[in-house]
Amino acid sequence: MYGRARSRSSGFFLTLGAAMIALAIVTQQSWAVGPRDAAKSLLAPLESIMTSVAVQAERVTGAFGDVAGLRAENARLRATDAQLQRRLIELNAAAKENATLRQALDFERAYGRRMMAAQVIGLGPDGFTRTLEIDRGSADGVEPGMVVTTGAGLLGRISEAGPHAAIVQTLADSQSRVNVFLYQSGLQGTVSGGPGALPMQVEHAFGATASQGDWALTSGVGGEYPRGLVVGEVSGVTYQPSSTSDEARIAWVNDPANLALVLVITDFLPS
Amino acid sequence: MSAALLQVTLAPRLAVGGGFPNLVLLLAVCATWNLGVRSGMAWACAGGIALDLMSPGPVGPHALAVLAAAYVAGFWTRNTGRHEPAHAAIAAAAGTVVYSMVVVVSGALSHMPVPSVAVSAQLVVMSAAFNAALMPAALIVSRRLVPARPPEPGLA
Repeated sequence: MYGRARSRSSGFFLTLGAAMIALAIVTQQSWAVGPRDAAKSLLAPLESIMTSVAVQAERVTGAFGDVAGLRAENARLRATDAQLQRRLIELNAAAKENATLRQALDFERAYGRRMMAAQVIGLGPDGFTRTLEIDRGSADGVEPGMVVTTGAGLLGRISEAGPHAAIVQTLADSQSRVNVFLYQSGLQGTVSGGPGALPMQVEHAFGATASQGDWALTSGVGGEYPRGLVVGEVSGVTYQPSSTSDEARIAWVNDPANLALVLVITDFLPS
Repeated sequence: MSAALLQVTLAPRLAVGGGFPNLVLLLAVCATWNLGVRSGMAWACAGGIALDLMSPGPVGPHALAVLAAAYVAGFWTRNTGRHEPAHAAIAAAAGTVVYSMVVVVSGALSHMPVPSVAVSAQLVVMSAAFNAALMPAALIVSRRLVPARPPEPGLA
C-alpha cells in the first residue's frame, strides 16, 4: 500500500514535471515570445500596487528598527549643531545658484539622450537573476536591448518587453559585461556583473595606474552602451605587474533593491 | 498568486547575504505538509507559473523548481510526524536546495544569466536558512487557514 501510494505520487510528479518542461520549451520559441510577454504584462498593474504596499510597509517597520539608533544619532548631532548652522547658511546661498543651474540644464538635455521615466514595479523572484520589472513596455516604445539608467548612473538593459511592462537585466547579473574607462587615469577596462562590488579588469597602459577613488564610466567601446554613463567608484585595486591587466573592484552607484524610478534611453540601441 | 506577488515585491527587500525567503516555496511545502503530496505539487505548479509570469525567460522553470521542492518535501511527510516543526524546517531547507539547483540548471539551459558556483552556493545557503526559519511559523498560519487532511491510506 505504501509503495503504491509512493508510486502514484512519483507518477504525478513526473507528469507535472514533463508538462512544465514542455511549457518552458514552447514559451521559449520565437513565435511564442509575443503571447508570453503579453501574458506577463497582464500582471504588471498588480505588481505596481503590491510594490507600493511593500514600500509603505518597509517604511513602517523601518521606523521601529530605527528608534534606538536615532536616539544615539540625535545625541551626537546636538553636539555639532552650532557648526552645522553656520555651514547651512553658506550652503543655502550655493544651493540657490545650484537650483537655477539645474533648472536650466536638466538631466536629459545635459546628457544629450532621449529618456523615458519608468517606475519599478517588481524585483527578481530569487537571488539568481538580478532583474527589475518596470511599468513601461513596447506600447510605450521600449525595446529589448535599450539601456536603462538612473540619476546616479548605469543600471542595465532591457531584456524582455511586453506591451505594458519590461524586464531589466541589471549589472548585478553575473553575466553582464560593460566596457569602461577610468575618469582620472584614462585606463580602459571591462566591468563584470556581480552581487557585491563589481569586478573590473583594468588594462595596463604606460604611465598610468588605476587607483582607489577613481570613477568608471562607460567607454562606448563595442557599441553596447553609450559613452559617458557612470558605473561606479574604484573601491580597491589588486596590482598584477606580471599580467596584462590589474583587478579592480567597483562600488556600483545603484542598488536595485532600493530603486523606485529608472530612466530608459530610447534613442540608443546596441550596434 | 498573492504569494508570488509578495515574492517579487516584498521578499527581495528582506535579503540577508544575498538570500531571501521564497514565499511560494513555503506555501507549496505547507500545502504538501497539510494536504498531501499531490495537492502540494498542484499548488507548487500554480505558484511556480505565477512566478514565471513575473520573471524573465520562459514560463515553466520556476514551476518545475517549486514542483521538485514539493516532491522532496513529500518524502518527509510520508516518514515523519506532521506535528514536528523541526522536520518541516528541514523539509523546507532541502526543498530550497532542490529548487535552487533546478532554477540554476534551467537558467543555464535557457541561456539566462546565472551566477558563479561560489555565489550560487552562498545564495542557496542563505535562502535555505531563511526558509527553514520561517517554515514552522508558516505551517502554524497555514493550518489555521486550511485544516490538515489525515494522512493518505497505507502510510505510516
